[in-house]
Amino acid sequence: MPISTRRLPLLPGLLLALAALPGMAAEAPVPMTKLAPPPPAPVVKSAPAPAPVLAAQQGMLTLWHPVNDPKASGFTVEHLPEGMALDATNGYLVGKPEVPGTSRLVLRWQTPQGPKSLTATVQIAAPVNPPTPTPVEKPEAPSPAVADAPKPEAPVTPPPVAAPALATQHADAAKSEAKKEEEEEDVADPSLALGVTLYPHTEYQRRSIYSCFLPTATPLKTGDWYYRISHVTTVPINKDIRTDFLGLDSGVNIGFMVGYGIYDDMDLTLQRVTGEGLNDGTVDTIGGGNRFDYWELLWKWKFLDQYDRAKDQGGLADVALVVGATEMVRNTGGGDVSVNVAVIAERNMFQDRLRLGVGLARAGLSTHYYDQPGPGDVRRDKLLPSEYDYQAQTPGWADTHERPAKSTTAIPITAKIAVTETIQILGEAIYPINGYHSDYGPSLAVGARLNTNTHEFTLFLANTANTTFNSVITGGNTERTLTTWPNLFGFTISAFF
Amino acid sequence: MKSLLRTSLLLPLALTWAIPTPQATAADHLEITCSLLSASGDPPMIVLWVEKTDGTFLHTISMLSKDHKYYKDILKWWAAREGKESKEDLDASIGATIKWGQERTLNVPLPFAGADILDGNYVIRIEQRKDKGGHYSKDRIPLTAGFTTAEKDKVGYIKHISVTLKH
Repeated sequence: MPISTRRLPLLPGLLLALAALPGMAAEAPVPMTKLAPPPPAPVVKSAPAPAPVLAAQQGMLTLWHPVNDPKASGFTVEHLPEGMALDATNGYLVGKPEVPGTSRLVLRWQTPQGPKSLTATVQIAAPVNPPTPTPVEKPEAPSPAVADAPKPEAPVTPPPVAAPALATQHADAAKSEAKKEEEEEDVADPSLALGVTLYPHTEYQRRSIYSCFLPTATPLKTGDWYYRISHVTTVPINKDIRTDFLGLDSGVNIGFMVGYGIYDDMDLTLQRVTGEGLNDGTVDTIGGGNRFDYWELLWKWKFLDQYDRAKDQGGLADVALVVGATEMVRNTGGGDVSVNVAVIAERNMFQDRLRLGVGLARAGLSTHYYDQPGPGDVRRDKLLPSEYDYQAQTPGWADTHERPAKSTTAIPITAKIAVTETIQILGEAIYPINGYHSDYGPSLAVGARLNTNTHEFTLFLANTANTTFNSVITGGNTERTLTTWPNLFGFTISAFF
Repeated sequence: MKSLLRTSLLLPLALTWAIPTPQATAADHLEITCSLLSASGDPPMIVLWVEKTDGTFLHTISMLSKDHKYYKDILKWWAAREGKESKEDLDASIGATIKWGQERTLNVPLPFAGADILDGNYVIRIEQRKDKGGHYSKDRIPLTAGFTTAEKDKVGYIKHISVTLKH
């Protein structure tokens, strides 16, 4: 039966589909006419696969796994780079290559199909070091005799350009590498270099340069600027709650301080504090009554650092020497100067949560001003020498008034607890032990401090409004503890630049 | 007639397309795990980026800080990306600062920024800087040919960093 023309278009399609299946290509039907056999297909040699490369850096942990065959086993290697090792079960090469350079290794392993191997190029890069610059050869300058001689008629052979240019390129590359190396020098963090454990609150525990009143053992960092504004009321916080908010509406002792880190572990601070009235008989030509203001310059040098030791937390304490002067500058001219000196020690404990401080402080000319009436309305101000001498002119006065000691020596004690990374509870007590004192026990302050990246905010209650070095070490204004009302409110705002 | 012709031509195509051909599997990202030391004060700004071995900047992997005004203080990175990375690309790579003692994992898709960064010609650069602290910019992790994993300890403020090829 002849093949219907309707079926013919389907047949080629089926043949094509069968030809597409691998290994199942159908042979074309043999034509009636015998054809010559086709020429043999040319053998095409494919380009060999590029040799694998193990590229690594000297001293850096490297892992290389060139054979990804789950049936491979029994790995061996020849010419393994120093510092690296082979895992014979899976063919992993791991380690820190020790020697820079280029080499070859041969990796062999077993498979069900038989042994296999590969040869790999090993390229271990050294840490970046500038190559030795190749000196640039400068062409010799002609001698004067030659220059003055008549020019030869023969054409001058131009000097070779390639060699000097290449040498210049090498020199430039060396300079570029050296410059790159210089630019890339890391600046190590000194706190990390100490090798001690640092906690989140450690930095703020060791940053403050002042407690509520006196300097701490911590100086400013070299080149850093600092300012502090302080306010301490002179009347108790509960004097008149409705119209005298925390005593801030009445007289307030205001201090303004500027500090600068002048050298390693060394700083200078200059503070000006509201002064007092002066009763020394001098004539006030300006008006407003005789007064003086405090100007205080202190130099601090930390000569021991608790963390400047090899072992963790092995140091004793931060210890600083403070030397300076407080001048009581009169509005009528002149003034009195107190030479001040102190040694302050502070130590972090309990994972830096607690910072305890103790010291010894002395003011050569101490003062004490007392705004609240004492028992029997007796003022307990310490008169400056000029004031005492003036009062003593009144007949009989000196018979009933003892000349106060000029100086005061005291022991300050501080404690600061890091409640969180940024919040601290702090307390300060200054016990006069020699010379003039107020008879009202130590100066006391307790409060809280909030730290930010650039600021400290401190609120505190105190029993004295005397805030300068030579006045605060003389003791409290009243015989009160911090748990007995009334107390004086104070706050400070400090900033680090 | 026409429908049979159409069928005869389309059928082999359908059959060939229906038969799956074997394909090679490929890795799809690099996983970078980075943990910070336990220390004090403000944590550092850390940036990771990819560049060629000759120093040509490719793309930022992640800038781990949102303090834009201090980006220019990350000197090496800021100079390298100048003119080579758009603001939009940078914004997309910004992440939160890692706190002290914390760990962060970053995923780098492959290819990265349109480049095959595992062809042996790229490195991962790391730069770190802390206010009133250190500045570390020399650290590199080469992405060698055949790269699978690399790790380093004590890289500036970084306690440990590992880079692993992941599928």
